[in-house]
Amino acid sequence: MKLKLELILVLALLPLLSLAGGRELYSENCEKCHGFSQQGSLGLPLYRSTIANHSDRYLQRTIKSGRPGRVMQGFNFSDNQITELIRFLRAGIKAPKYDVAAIKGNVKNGQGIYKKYCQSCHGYDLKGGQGIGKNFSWQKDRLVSPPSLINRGFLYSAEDQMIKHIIANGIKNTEMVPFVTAFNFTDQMLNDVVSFIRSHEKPPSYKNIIRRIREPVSFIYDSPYKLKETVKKIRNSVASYNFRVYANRTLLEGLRKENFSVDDKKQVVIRFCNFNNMQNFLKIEPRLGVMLPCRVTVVEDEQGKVRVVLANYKYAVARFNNEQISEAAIILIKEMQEMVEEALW
Amino acid sequence: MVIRVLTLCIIMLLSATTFAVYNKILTERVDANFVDTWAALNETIVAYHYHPAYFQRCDFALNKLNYKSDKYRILFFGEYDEIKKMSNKYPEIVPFLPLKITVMEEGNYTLLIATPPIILSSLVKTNDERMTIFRWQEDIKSILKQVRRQFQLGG
Repeated sequence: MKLKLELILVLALLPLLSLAGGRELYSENCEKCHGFSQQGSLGLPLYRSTIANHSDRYLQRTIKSGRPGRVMQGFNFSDNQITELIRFLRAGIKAPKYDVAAIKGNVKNGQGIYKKYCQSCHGYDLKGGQGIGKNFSWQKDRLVSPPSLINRGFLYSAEDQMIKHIIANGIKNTEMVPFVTAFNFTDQMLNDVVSFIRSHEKPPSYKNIIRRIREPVSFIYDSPYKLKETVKKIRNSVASYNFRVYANRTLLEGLRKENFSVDDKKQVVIRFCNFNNMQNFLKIEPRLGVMLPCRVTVVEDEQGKVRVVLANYKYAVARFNNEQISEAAIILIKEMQEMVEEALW
Repeated sequence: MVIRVLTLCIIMLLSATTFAVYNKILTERVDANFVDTWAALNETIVAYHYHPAYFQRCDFALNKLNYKSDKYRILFFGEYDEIKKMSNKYPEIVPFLPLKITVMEEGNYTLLIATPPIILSSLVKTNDERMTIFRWQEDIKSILKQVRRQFQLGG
C-alpha cells in the first residue's frame, strides 16, 4: 500500500521534474531577453497564447537556428534540452501540428493583399518594425515590434500552414488581429499572402552563410601635431559634426586614487554624443549603451609620436545580431572617420 | 604556470563555435530596481579586485522625450596596472578600455550588459596578455551572474 502511494506520488511529480530542467534552461539562456515570466523585453513575448500557435518543429528550429540579424541567436542545445525547454514554455498546452507541405497560392494577388493589410506593420520589404521585441523601458511606436517575415530563420522554421493559421486567427495580447474575422479574409486570400511571404525564401545554401566583418577592430591615425594640439583639433572637428563634446578624461582616470604618473596624461579620451542619433540607436537596440559614449582617444607614445584611435563600430555592432543597427553603424563610423581625417588634415 | 598554459590550450582548442558564443553580448536580467542593482554592481566589482573609475549617464536626454525610463548608466572600471600596461603596448585596444558594464532599468527589473573582452585577445601577442583578457572575460561574466544571484528568490 505504502509502495503504491509512493509510486503515485512519483508519477504525479514527474511532469514537474521535467519542467524543472526546462525552467533552468530558460532561466540561464532565455529570460535575459524574454523576461522572467516570458512577458517579452529585448526579445518577443513568449506568452502561452503565442506558443499555442507554434508547432514543436517550429520551436525546435527557432531555438537551434535563431533569427539571423534579429537579435535572437541560435542555441547549441541537445534535442533533449530543446524538448525540455519547449515543454516548459508550453506549460501543458497541447502542441499544434501543421502539414509541412507548401501552400500554393497566387503570389501576385498575395502581394496586393500584403500591401493593403500587412505592410503598415511588417514593412514594405517584409522586414518588420523598427526596434526589437517588447521593451518596457523605451518609447516604442508599437507594443510589440512586428517581426520580420523574410528572416531566414523564420522562413526556415515556419510551416506555411502555421503562417496561415496566425494570419487567420491572430495572436492574443499583440496587435496581430485575426484577419478572417476582422477583414473577412477568405481561404484563397490567406493562401495568396502565405505564398507571397514564402516567395521571399532564399535557397537553402544561403541559410548558413555567416557574414563576417573583414575589417580592423579599430582605426589608428598618425597625427602630424603635438598631443595638446591634436586634442584641440579633434574637439573642434567633433563639435562641427553636431556632437556635444564632454570634458576630456585621461584613460586611467579614476582607476587609482593617487600616484598617477605623468605618462597617464598622454592618453586623452574625447567623449561626445549626438542625442538624436543616440535616441534613434537606442530605439533600435537598447543594449547599445555598451558602446556609448562615442569617443576618440589620442595617445602619445614614448617617442613622442601622437596617434588617434577610433573604435570600428561596424565591427562592434556585429555582435548584436541586429541588421538595423549594423546599417546605422556604417553611416556613423564613416562620419567619425571623416571627422578625424578632417581634424588631422 | 602549468595551469595557465593548460587553460590557454583549452581556449585555443575550442574552435569557431565556442568563439561565436564568446563573441555574443553578455546580458543578465536582475530582479531588482535600478538603484539596488547599481549598488550591488559597484560592490561586486570591488570584490573582484577591480576599481570602479567613473560612470557615464545616458539618461539626461531620454526623460525629456517621453521615454518610459531614464535610468541608463555605464560604469567604467578596471585595474590600474593592467589597463596601463595593455593600453601602452597596444593602442588599437585603447578604445575598449577601461572595461565597462551598462546598467539599464526595465520596468521592475534591471538589465546588465557588457561587451565580451575576449574579442581583444587576437590583438595581443603574449600568452600572459591573452590570459589577462580571458580573465577579464570570465570576471565580467561572473560579476554579472553574481549580481543577478544576489536578488534571486532565496539567494
